[in-house]
Amino acid sequence: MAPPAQEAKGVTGSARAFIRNCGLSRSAVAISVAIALVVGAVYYLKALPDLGDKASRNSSLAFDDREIAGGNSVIVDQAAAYEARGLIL
Amino acid sequence: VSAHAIGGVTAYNLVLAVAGTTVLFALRPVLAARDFVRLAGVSYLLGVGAAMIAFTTVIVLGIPLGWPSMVVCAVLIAGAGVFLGLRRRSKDPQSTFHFSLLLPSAAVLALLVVTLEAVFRKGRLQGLLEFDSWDSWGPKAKALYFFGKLPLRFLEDLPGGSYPPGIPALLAGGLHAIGSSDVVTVHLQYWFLGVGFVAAMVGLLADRVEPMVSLPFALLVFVMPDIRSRSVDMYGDLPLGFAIAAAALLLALWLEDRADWQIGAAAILCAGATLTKREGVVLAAAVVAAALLASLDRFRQTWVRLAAVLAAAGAAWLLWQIWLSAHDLHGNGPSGGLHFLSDLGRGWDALHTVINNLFEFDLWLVSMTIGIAAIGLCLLVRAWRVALYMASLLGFLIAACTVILWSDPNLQLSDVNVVSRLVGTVALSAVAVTPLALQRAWGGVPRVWNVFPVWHRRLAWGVVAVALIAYPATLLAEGGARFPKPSDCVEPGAIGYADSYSAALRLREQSTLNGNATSTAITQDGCGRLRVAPTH
Repeated sequence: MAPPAQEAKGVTGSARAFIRNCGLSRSAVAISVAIALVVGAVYYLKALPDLGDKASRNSSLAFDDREIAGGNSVIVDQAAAYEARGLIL
Repeated sequence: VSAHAIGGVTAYNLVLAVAGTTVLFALRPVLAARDFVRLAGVSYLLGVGAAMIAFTTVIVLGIPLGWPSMVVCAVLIAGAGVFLGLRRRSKDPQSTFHFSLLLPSAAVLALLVVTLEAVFRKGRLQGLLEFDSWDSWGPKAKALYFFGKLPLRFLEDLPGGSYPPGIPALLAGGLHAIGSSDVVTVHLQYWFLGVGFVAAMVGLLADRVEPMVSLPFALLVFVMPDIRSRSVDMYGDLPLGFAIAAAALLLALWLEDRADWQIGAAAILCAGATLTKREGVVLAAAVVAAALLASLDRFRQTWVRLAAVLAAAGAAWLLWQIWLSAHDLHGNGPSGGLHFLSDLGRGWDALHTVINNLFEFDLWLVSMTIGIAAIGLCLLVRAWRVALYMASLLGFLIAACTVILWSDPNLQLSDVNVVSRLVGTVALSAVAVTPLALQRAWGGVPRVWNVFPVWHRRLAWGVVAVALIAYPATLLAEGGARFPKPSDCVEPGAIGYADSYSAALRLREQSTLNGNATSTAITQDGCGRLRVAPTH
C-alpha cells in the first residue's frame, strides 16, 4: 500500500491540507495512545489484586471443589458424583 | 496440581510451538532466525490450529485419539513443514527487522509481563467452576483422554454435544502430557493460548508499529475486565476470539504486503476457529468479507486467495459435519433454518444488545471507542484501505454476532454473560488491529533509535527482566506457590490410597471382604490420588 503522503498526492494533490491533517491526526493519535495507556494502567492496578485474590481463592479450594464446583447446582453432593464415577471407570 | 503436571503441560505447548514453527517455515521459508523469534506467537497459534485440524481428522477417521496418534500428528505436521520449507526455500534468509525498546515502552512491556504472570497464578489452581466447563467442555476432554473417542450416547445427552472437538482434543493432549485427568492444571492451556495471542500481536506489529503504540493495546487484552475474568475459564469463546483476532490482524497486514504466507496463516487460524466453536465459521466469513471489501480495487488478484481462507474454514466445518451426519447426530444449534429472519424485532434487539455490550466500559474499557477513533484518523490522512478494512471488520463482526444471537431463540439477550462471551471476539479484533491503524494515521514506520547509548537499551531490557523475576520472587518470599506432596494429603483413618478408580474399587472390595463393614467412599485426596475412607 502506498504511504499516506503518496496517496494524498495522487488523490487530491492538496499537499498543504494533507500536512495540516497529518498534524491534527498525529495529535489525535498521541491522545488515543495516551488514553489507552492511562486506562490500561488504572485498570492494571485493579486487575493485579483481582487476579491475586482469585488465585488465593482457587488455592483455598479442595480438589473436589475445583473439579465439581460447576455442578454443585445439579448434584446432591460431591461424594455421590465420585461414587458414581468409581462405578463407571 | 503438581510441578510435574505443570511441566507436562508446558512441554506439550512447546511441542505445539515447534510444530507451528515448522508450519510457518513451510509458509515462509526465507524468514531469518530473528524473524522466527519475533513471530513465535504466530508460530504457536499456527501449531494449535494445525493440531486441532489433525486431531479432528483423527477422530473423524475413527482412529483412537491417544498419545500415540497425537505424537504421530505432531511428527507429521513438523515433518511436512520442514520438507515443504526446504523445497520452497530459494534464497538465504535475510532480516531487516530491528526492535528498539526504549524505557517508556519497556515499562509497558514490564506491566504486560507481570499481568501474564498473574494470570498464570490464577490458572494454576483454577477449577471447573463454570457450569459449562463442568457440564460440557471438561467431560468431552476427559472422554477423549480416557477413551480416545467421543462415545455417541455420551454426546447425545451432552449440552453442546455437537460442538466441534478442537478444544476438547487440545485439552485431551494436555491431559496426556500431564499424565492424569487433572482438570485443574489443564486450565493452564488457556494461559498458553493467551500468551500466544499477545506474543503474536506484538510480533506481527513489531516491524511496522512503534512499540509505544502497540504495547498499550497488548496490555489492554488481559486488563479488559471481561477477558481478565474469563482468562483461564474452560470455555471455547476466548480461544475462538484469539484465533479470529489473529487472523484479522494477519489479513490487515496482507492488505499492505500481499504476502501469501499471511493468507496461509490466516487460513489455518480460521480453520482452527471453526473447529473451536460452531459460530467460528460465521466469524471467519466476516473477517474474509472485510478483507475482500477493502481490496475491491484489486479484486481479480485477491478474491482467489481470500476465497481460499474461507474455503479452509468451510472445509473444517464440513469435516465435523461429515462425522456428525455419519453418526446420525444433529447439530444442537438453532433449528428452523432461516425462519428466524421473519422475526425482525428480535434481530433489531440483538443488534442493540451487541452494540450496547461492546461499548460497556466495565467490560471492554475503551477498546471500541479508540478503534472507531483510529478509523476516523485513518480517513483524515486518507489511509483509506486500513480505514475501510477496520470499519468493515468491526461492522461485519458485529453483524455476525447479531445473526448468531438472532438465530438462536434459546440465547437470552438479557444474559450479559452469554452476550459478552460472544462479542469478546469483536473487542479482541479491535484491540489487535487498532495499533496498525493508529500507526498509519501517524504516518511512517517505527524508527530505529540508534541515538540512544547502549546502556539505555540495556536498562530498558533490564526493567523487563526485573519485572519478570520480581513478581514471582515476591510471592515466593511470602510463601506462595506450594505444591502438595502425597504425604500432605494423608488422613488418619483412611483405608488406603490408589492411583485409579478401578484400583480404588478393588481396595474397597478387599476391605469389605476383610470384614470392614462400615460404608466407604472414594474421593480425590487433593494430591492426585484417590482416597478410600469410611464415611462419617
